[in-house]
Amino acid sequence: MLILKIAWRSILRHRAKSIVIGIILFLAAFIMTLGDSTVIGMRRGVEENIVQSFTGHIIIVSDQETKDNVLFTPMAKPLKILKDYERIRDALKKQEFIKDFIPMTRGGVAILGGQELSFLLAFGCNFDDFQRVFGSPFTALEGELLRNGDHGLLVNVNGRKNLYKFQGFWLVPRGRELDKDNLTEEARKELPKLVIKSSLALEGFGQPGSISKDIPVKGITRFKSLNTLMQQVTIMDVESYREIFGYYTARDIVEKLPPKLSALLAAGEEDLFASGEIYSAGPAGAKVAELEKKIRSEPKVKRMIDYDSAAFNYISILLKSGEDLAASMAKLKRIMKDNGFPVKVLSWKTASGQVAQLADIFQIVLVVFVILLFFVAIIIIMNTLSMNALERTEEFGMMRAVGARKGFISRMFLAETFSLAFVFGGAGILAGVIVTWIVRALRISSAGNEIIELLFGGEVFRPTLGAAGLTIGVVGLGLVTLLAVVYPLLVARKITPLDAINRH
Amino acid sequence: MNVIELKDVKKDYPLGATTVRALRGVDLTVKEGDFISIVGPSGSGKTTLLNIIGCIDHPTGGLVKIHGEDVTTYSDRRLTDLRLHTIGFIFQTFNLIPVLSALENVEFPLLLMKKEALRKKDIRERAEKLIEEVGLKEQINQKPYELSGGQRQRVAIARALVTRPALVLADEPTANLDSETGEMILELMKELNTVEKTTFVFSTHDPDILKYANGIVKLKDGLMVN
Repeated sequence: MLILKIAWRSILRHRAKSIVIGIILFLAAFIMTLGDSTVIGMRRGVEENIVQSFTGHIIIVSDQETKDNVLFTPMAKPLKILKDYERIRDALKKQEFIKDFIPMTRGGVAILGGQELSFLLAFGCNFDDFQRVFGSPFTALEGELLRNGDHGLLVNVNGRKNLYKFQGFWLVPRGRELDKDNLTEEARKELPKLVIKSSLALEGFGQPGSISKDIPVKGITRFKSLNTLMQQVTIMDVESYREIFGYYTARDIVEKLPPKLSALLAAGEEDLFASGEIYSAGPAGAKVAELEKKIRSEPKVKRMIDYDSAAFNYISILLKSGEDLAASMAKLKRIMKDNGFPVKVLSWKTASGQVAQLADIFQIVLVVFVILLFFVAIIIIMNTLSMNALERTEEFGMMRAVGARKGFISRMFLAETFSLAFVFGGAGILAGVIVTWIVRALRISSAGNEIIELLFGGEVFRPTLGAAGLTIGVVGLGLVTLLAVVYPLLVARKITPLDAINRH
Repeated sequence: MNVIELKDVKKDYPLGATTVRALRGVDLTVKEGDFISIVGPSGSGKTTLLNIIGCIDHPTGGLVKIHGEDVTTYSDRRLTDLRLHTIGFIFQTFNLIPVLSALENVEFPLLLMKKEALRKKDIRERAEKLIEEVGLKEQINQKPYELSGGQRQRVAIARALVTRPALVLADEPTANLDSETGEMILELMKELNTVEKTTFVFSTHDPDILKYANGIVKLKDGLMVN
């Protein structure tokens, strides 16, 4: 009580300095709270927009993958085929913490017939399944999305611009007119002789047995949020993907065989083809090897055969709301291990590599900015408190002379500083919370600016402050105060009664 | 019983390339109930001697005993506790805590005492009694800046006495006061010395107040002259 009494009266007595320190603490707490809410909002926005619209929370890939950033590697070789997909699928279906999942393919595809060789990062899926899992993260600016088992490509609007820049042609969805409003300035200048294409001749890259095929462009799309981050994504129906990469199941092959041979084989191998297993060993494997031999001798079927009933490269898993990512990953790893599935379990962030890191860069910049502000605040407060301590040499020295220990001086000094931090810093945090609410309610839009959209973590700026954000604010304020008070405290503790006498 | 024993106490202060020898070997014994005055011209070492006796300065050499214990080897904490429990200070300047009232200033040393923790009521009563004794009943709730020089000095005396110390040290307690107030303060100190048997050691320039002392220590150039 005595300490608090002296502390409060000293604060009031040294009003000017208290206000200087108070204002700095207020601003530090305010900016920190607002910064926290921005970073948290952005993180949440990025997570919602990337995780909920494309990657899912957890990615399962083959354990043969040597690298972990499996999703957005530029000019990437196709991922290894996921073995045991059907068993993995069955295991995943039983997990209560999983909301949904979708098997996907991913690989770099070479674009043939342009000015120079270039590549697209293609993701193959059953688009109906994709929409079931991820909703509708795309908008078709031209053409339409894939539906009812359509075969074709969904090219990103920025991807189209790049193709024009490097390949010299402008993509228009098949069966659609050129929309001149969507042309880039350069393309508009070239309009009379603009080369327009409605399909791309694509060939799987880096996979033996790949073939080239002309695949129609069904739509020019844009991710509803964070399109810049995701612009490299080209969606393709899984059948077309498998075809250009030469992924075939026994069932597929039978369908491709001439009717006569197909009928002949189907009669003897019905069970084999219907089961959809990967045929690699044992009696079934022997039958498949025999079948393969026959098929290879058939000139119309020249592709490499992968006896995978469902050739996928990875599985995207969405967790149920409120499920902890780390805990879910640990559970999933255990399940995969217990079942002997040859897979790796990756978080979306690990699997997304540079894309997730790009989002992090903005957060890091913001955090660095807040930390710099902290240091400035710490230095100013430290300086003011040190001056304050020295100016009170007589007071502290006299207290020491009449029997106050150094600990008493420390507690008194800390009580003063932390009282200021509590009042002004608390007000700063409160102001930060109120401004966060107001800004969130205003729903400030990125107005289509993709850079601002990255900063916002989505189309709309949604600063968010949860318990974690507030805790960070309070702990941060405490840390700033503590760091700022250490040196002045040492100065105050060193003051002796003799200093007070000499000063006088 | 000896309250203070000094043997060959020396104190040097470095001053640039030279050394100022403030005390050159002082021997002094003060008994319980003494009322000792230290006199001497400016720079003779009076304040230094009081500071060393009061454990707020360390001697460069020699022995300092308070109640028979050598305090030159004490840690900072032990010296602080010794000051709190055994020694009362009245400084030349009026060093009160600026944010506390006259009463709260007097209570302050008692509130620092944890082991002997008195009840708040007892602390208040003891402080009020002393304030009354020094004639400041009307100013009991006033802050130091609202008091005159003499009033502040009286508060300082009350504070020095509130812990009932064995020894009170006063460095020119009347230097900044008018003669009437100065005399009143010395009367008060003498009364406490007589009634409570409190030992007083004070420095002064004023020959008029020497009449109160029962012992005089004369210092010149850091040495006891007599």
